[in-house]
Amino acid sequence: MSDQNAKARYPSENIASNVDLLLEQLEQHITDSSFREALQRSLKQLADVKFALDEASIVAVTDHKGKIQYVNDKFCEISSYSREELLGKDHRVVNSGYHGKAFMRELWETISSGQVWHGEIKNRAKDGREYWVDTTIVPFVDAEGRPYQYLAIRHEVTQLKETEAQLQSMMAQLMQVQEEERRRFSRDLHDGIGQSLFALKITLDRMISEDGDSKGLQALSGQVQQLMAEVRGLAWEMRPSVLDDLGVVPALRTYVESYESHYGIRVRFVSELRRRPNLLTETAIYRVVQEALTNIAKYAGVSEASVTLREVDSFVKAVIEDRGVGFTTDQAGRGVGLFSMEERARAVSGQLRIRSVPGEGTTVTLSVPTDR
Amino acid sequence: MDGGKSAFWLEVMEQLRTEIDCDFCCVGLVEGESRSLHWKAASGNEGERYSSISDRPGRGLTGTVVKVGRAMPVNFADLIMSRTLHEYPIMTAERLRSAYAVPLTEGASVMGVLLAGDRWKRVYRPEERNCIKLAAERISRKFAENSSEAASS
Ligand SMILES: Nc1ncnc2c1ncn2[C@@H]1O[C@H](COP(=O)(O)OP(=O)(O)O)[C@@H](O)[C@H]1O
Ligand SMILES: [Mg+2]
Repeated sequence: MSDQNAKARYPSENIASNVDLLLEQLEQHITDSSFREALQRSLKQLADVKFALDEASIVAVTDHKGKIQYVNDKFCEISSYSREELLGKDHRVVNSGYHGKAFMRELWETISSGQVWHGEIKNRAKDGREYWVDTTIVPFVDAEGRPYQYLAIRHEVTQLKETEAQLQSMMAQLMQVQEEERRRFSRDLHDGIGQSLFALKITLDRMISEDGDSKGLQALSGQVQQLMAEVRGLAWEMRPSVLDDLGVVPALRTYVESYESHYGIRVRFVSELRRRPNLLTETAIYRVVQEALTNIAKYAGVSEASVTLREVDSFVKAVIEDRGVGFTTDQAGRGVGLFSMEERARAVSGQLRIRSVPGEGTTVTLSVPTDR
Repeated sequence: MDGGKSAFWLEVMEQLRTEIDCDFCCVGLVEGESRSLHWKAASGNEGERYSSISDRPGRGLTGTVVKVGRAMPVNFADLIMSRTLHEYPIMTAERLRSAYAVPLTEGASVMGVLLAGDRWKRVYRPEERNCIKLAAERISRKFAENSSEAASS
């Protein structure tokens, strides 16, 4: 029997589609009964697995060029296309345009080299509804290792994606509310309690100057002065007013100064910013630098660090660097600091990159687009 | 700080370190209008960073030992738990895991802190705590002597 004939008689494009036919004819082709039974069982299992897959997942099979050869009911249901509309087309039918060229190229390079691709894809149905599918594409390769067919197994994760997006926007809002509260508390502390203490101090000093050598009053005055310093420190720690008034560069200069004398770590601070970013970006930069420097003091084991602010193309970049002990990703798991830095970046459409090599040090890079 | 004073502190600290066998010891004084702690002398130190470390106003040992005037154990694991490690920079600068901090006093006022520490997890027994307190008292007595000298001269 020639190859062409075999293909016509037993079509094998669609997975397990000719199992029934083969089962019927096994008897007349194979005489060894135990071998035949084993083959029967395997074929039956193949058909059952195919059935199970169709029940559980959105399934599509394409040829090596990506032309759709098979879709199951679930595929039709979610895409709202009929089977006839899909067969013979490629996956561009359901393309949402969400993913860039680079994304698609990476996908194709992976599967056409015979490797499994896994990821999340946003598609568009015939009725315009957009849906997210968690996707696994498995290439079936021939004897030379060349893919002749691709099996795509998908699960809808739209709701998960939406919840994720909601959570993120909630996080961003929460962080902003937190900053606003901090700003208010800081101002109240400074202007309210701070001013009252100042008045108290003046009264005390007048009493001291009127009544010569009152040791008790002098001690009291010293304590009030100490309290004033504490309140000022607290207000500044909460949110320095200079951040709102003069911007992130003067705010960070003051922060770095206080950091150096608190931790005994010298910080090289360089800013090449020529203008103030918007206030949300400034806040994000300030908080990320603050968290990264605090981590350096707590973990890096160095006596020097550096902070650089720069404007590159249409991005503001903040780089915080140390040559300390470094860490690996599984060490970083528990803390909220790294996580909150990422959220801060995301909230201003920016990006946070952390590069750390044990024994070499850590670099945290925040980039935020300027024209938002 | 004059050399005589720091030589005396070093002598007290070295003696204490042999007595209770601890890795590290340092003396800090309260300074400025915020009366926050600055470290002035150390023994068993790994680097010189201690000397450029100071507490934030009302935070760390300044907000505890100095303010209340009572001795206190400091524990790295507890500081991590309570998210206050950043208030105790001496712990990270000298890689201490445990410490015991005792106030230095002159009359009723706290002048500073004597801190004994170790780079391993240690619980200081009552008699060890007592040794640290006695060392702190020796340093404290010197304050009184110095100020009465200053007053009489
Ligand atoms: N600059 C750094 N050098 C060394 N280790 C670091 C540095 N920054 C972070 N780490 C490691 O990453 C972990 C997570 O940091 P983070 O999320 O800020 O949490 P936290 O500061 O609360 O421990 C830290 O516990 C530490 O092990
Ligand atoms: Mg942190």
